[in-house]
Amino acid sequence: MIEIVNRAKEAAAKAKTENDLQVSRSHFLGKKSELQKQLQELASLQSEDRKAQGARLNALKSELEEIFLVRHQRLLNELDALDPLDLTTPGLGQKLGHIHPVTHVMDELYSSFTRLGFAIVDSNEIEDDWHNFEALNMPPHHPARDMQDTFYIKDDGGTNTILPRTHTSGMQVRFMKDNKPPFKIIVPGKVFRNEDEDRTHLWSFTQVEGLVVGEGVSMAHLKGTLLAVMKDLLGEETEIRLRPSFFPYTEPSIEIDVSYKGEWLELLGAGMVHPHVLASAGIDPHKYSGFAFGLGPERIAMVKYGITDLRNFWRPKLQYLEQF
Amino acid sequence: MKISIKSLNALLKLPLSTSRVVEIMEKTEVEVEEVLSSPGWHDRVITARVTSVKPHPDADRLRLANIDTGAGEIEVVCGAPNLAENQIVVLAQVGAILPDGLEIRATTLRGIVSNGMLCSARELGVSDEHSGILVLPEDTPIGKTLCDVWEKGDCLDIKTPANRWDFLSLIGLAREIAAKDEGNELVEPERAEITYSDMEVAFVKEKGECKRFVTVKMSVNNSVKSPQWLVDNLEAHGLRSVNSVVDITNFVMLETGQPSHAYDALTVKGPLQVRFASPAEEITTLDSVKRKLSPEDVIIADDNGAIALAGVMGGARTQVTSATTEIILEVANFERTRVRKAALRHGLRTEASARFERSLPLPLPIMAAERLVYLLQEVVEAQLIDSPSDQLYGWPWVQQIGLRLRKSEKILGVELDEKQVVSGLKKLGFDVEHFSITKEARKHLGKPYVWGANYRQHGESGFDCSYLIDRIYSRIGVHVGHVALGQFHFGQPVEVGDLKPGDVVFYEGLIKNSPTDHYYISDGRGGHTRVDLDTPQKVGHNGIYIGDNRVVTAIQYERKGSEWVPRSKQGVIEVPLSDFTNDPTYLGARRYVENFNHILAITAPWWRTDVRLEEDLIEEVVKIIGYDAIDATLPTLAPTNTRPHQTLTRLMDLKKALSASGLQEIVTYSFISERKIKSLGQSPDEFLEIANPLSLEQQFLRRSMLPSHLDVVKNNQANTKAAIVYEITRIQTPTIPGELPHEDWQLGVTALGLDSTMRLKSVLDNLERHFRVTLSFKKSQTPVYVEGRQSDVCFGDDTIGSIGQMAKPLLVDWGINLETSFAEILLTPLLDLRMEPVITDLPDYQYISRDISVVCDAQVAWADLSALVKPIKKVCKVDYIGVYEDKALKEEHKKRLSMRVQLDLGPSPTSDEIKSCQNDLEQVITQSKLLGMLEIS
Repeated sequence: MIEIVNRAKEAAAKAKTENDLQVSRSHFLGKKSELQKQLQELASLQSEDRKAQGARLNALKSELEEIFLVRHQRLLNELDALDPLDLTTPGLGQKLGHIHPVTHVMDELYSSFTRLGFAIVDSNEIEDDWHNFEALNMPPHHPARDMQDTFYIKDDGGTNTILPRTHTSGMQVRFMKDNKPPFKIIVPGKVFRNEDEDRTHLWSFTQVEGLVVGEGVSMAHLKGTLLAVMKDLLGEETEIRLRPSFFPYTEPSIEIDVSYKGEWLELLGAGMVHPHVLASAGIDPHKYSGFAFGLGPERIAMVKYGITDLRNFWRPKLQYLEQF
Repeated sequence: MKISIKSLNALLKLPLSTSRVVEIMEKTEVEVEEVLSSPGWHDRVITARVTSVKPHPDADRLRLANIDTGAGEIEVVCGAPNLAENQIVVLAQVGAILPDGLEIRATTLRGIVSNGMLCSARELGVSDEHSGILVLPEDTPIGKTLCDVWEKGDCLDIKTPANRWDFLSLIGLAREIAAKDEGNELVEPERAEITYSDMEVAFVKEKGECKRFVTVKMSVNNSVKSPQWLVDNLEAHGLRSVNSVVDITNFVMLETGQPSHAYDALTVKGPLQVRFASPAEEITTLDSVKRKLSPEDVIIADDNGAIALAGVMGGARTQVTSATTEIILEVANFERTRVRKAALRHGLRTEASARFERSLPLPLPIMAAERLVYLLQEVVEAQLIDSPSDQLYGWPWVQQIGLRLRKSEKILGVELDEKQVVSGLKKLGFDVEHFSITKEARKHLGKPYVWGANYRQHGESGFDCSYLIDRIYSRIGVHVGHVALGQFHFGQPVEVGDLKPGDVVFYEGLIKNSPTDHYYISDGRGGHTRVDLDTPQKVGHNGIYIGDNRVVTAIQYERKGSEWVPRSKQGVIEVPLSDFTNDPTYLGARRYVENFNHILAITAPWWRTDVRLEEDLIEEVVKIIGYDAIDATLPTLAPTNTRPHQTLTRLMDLKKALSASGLQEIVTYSFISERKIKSLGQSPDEFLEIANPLSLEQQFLRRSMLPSHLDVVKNNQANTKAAIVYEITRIQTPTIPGELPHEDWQLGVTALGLDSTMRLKSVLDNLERHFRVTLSFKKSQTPVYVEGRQSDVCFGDDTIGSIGQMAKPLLVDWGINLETSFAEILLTPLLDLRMEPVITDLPDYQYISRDISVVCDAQVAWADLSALVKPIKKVCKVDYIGVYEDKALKEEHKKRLSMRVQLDLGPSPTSDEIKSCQNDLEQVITQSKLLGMLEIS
């Protein structure tokens, strides 16, 4: 008996295919098997013996069936086995790309300002002299124009002087002419300055202009708004500091320093909108007041990511940009 | 601008440390760019005297000097050509360390031991001068450390705002610093007292360009060397010493902000003239450059022609030298724009022109002239030859403004302490008075009646009725007009019962001149606007109500029945209100200011030409209280429209989507070169051109990102073999010259590496998904792309872009060795859309899918095949599987296109139903002439 069981175990283990296993299963359990023959012979035995022999044979049958069943399951598992995978290699499919570092900053500014109820206004990059300078209290030959070295578009007999805008402030005037206060807007966009490029200067860069006009808008609101945005951008512990400055289109004018990693950085120019600018855009300066500010996303990106050479932004080195 | 702390301190009652000066400047608009600390010297660097000089026995260019160190004599070897006996020199003794780190040891030079070194200015780190040793003034004590006797002091490099002329002067800076430093005061430098003749010694033809011309003729001894303090001072401010007279004019310019010029009087022929240059006139300026003058240049000339370009630079012909014995000193006021234009035209931005450009005030030349004469008398023994002359052609403007404290608080968002504000403004030189309309009116009681009186001629000494009103209101910067007619039209009408102090009452009275139909309103800046009326009106007399039924008026006539007769008592008097309101010709009352509470009447000092408006004063107020006093609060106003444009947020969404699908965003400059435009086969004529480009590389505004992106590929091909980059920018299309160009948002995408074109194509597929639009692709033929691998991109009927693989010759031209494809799409029409997804409910049962292969002509496009299948009944979706071309098919110009077609045949279609649908499909496809169909499987 035990011998049969051992032989069956051996044979089952030897079978490497389902077919082999079926063949050897038939050998032990099939119609022509030894076991089957003995089961058939049971009928000829005495009842006493038949009972005992029957019980034995049935036990053996169960044992053999179990052996082949287990082996079958195992064999199936063996047959289903797949090659191993090196899961340290990169996966398949499209990897994420990158947005430009300045776009990162812009995105954070968008969400910060929109949370504060600002609208984001699109604007032209080419502006006329009146909107870029004159309406902002900088008549022709005003020395304040020296603050912004200007490119001009070649005059082909046109009557207007047009230029790649030196700042986004021209849009202040355009927006105020078309919209009634109260409003809060930011105007992001490219600006152009006729100056040599170096590590910290680009001759074209982005600027975000802000303008808030309404009744009772004050310097305290300017301070509160920019503090909120700078905290969003640089962290809750950020502080700001206001210093007197001069811009022809704001009065009073200020520079805003922002604390970041223990240093004060000059990040914004701002001020209360000059009454002449309000008036030239058709807004009653006796009724309304407003504040305006300008900040540079490149400069913020530089500070935030510890960038030492701004030229990497506009003269793309792909390997460099991939880090963002 | 460079300023020396030492010179600044000379003008302050309490001298300040460098760091304190910087700290105070941070509270003003002055920006300190850099603190230039004075070089300190080692204490073995001392002053000494050269007692004797003898030749070196063994070297021609070296000499031996005996040096008295104050504590004994030593011998040093020296190669300086200017070495001479009795000079006071700087000796670096053995053991001294010089600013550049050099340690002095006893060295043997050609056999002689040198026990130290005599130093040049460069070796001491004070200037670049190295042609000889530094020689100190004769009266310098010897044996002292150099630090003790020669305090160079710190300098600041500062930037000052364009609206503050006074910050380009030491006095202006000192005045501001003193006002912001508790207990400090400006110490005015000493000046000569001068009596001016009113003789017009110069012929000022252009009085509009030259509103003041002060000249002083003096004898001088200019062979006297400039004193050391003067030389040091100029050098500290970055100017070099020329000769005493010139040095003094430069120094006074630094000190007062007023440029001046001295001519050698003996070289000037005839009287000075101030006129425009005549055509073809020339001048050789002090920098020895011969310049052709423009008829737009204002010049100073004598009988022989131009001797100075006004406000910019003097001429060489009349220049002052050390031999000069007689000078004409010119201290003038020139018009800012004229000077600026001339300086730009001649490429000559000088210290003088920079100051005139900021518009100098008319009282300044007098202050400067008196300072100049004082210093010339002190230094070069100057003596007046004739009486100095002061030719004035303008009126020194006096700016009066009302400062409303409540308005200031509203604008600043902070509560103000009135005392602090008043004392702060007074320290800055502002005249501040609490304004009371009643007091202001009564102040003038008893003054005489002067018909046609005005401020410039009469000040506050006499009035007519309307000038009295004008003057009272001008005190607080309210400009009501100069004549009664204008004043009657300007204000708000008030009923008699509602009269408040300050309201002005009118009657017709006696009109001396005929009724008029116009009047002028002053803008408070010296200009006027004319206002015309439809019909002439008679407004003869007015007075200002001061409460209690009393009116103050400047009056000449009184009514006797129906007649007007001269009053016995004329001038500014107080009368009962009924004199006006009961007069049969009473016209009414007008109000100009609602509320006189807490108004300060402020007069700006003459040097504050930047203060013209109440807002300018509010800026002074906030600087007085400090910005830290302002709380940070958020505005509570609720804009009605927070989303006027969505373009930019939609672009941001697109950027995020593109980058999420594996693309890298780049930004490149918008200006390109003519060469690049031409290399793409385009004409620069169709591009906007920069009139003043930085370089030829940046001369035109690009209309495509292609050239910029090819540069990116070229510069990155060594490190990046496969990538897709994109840029979103505005593109300008010229319209009419001088008009703003048309601007659009555009997307540029560049793929590099294998299969670049189809990888790029998938970006455009994603673009369709992102905007939920369908783009169509039409074969194109442009030479920049490879033939057969390019297409126009269309949206509806419009072509909005292109895609293609870059043509080989172009890549070779650019030096690119990677496969590169480029696509450019106009985004503007897509950004304006707001496409919402169209949703179809899916049934509970499953669709039937069938894969179909079609062998067709090689030029058949997938779009054509899918367009053919999609409309077939029961077809709900057609997906592209692939294309197959083997050699046999290729020879026959065929290809096999496979697609998966999804069919909606209801819940449990029978095999017949499926068969019949398949037959429909096959029939449509095989019958299509378009495909040149061969087989379906």
